[in-house]
Amino acid sequence: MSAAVADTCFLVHWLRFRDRERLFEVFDSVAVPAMVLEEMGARGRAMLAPWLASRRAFLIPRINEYEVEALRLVEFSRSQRLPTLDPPEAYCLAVARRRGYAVLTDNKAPKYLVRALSEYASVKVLDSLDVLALIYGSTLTRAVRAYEEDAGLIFSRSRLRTYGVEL
Amino acid sequence: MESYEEFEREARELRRRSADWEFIERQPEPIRAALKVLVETGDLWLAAKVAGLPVDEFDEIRLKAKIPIVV
Repeated sequence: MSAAVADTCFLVHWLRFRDRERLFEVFDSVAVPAMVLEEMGARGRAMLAPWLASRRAFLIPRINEYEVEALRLVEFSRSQRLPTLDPPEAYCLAVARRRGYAVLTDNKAPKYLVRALSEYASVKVLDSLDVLALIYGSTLTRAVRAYEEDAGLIFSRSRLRTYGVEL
Repeated sequence: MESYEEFEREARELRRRSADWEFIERQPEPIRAALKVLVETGDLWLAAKVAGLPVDEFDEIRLKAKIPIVV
């Protein structure tokens, strides 16, 4: 097991999931950049607080080196006409590369960026469906239904098929 | 990995079709504009920025507007 760094949208949705604690069956700990915490309101912070208190989640301060790298990634994704990479996702990627963490995000852009930029090829980017698959294995279908209901998300049917799920 | 353009086109159609447009049009600015940004782009972070709200608070409005996030 290892650490992962999570972006805002992933956390907002995962924290609504009835089995959110099972995330720690896959990762020892989850890093939360300060800029991600700052983008969460009262409800999100309250739900994140027990993870911080138990040290399963920890904060990463704003570090200029990562911020500069994040800007470079945003500019690269724009110049290559990749899906739009938002600054928090870019920051997570910069942290992940330097610290050896996985990235947790429900946005597509980071997955495309690590395919396009060779020095990021080793960074593992997982969305909530990937994480559910790691946790639930053969009982994934039930978990997908629960997650869609709790988080208000819809998984792409073609992506679900890659995991053998037909809803 | 599926083509991003194909994925995003299908996701945008789903967001447009699922959205409660009456709810969206009743919202004050800049919430209304932000919800429309979300329908068109699927970018929750960007839409929350337009709304001037924390992401989780804007996401609660997104749920009321019946705009799905497609992953």
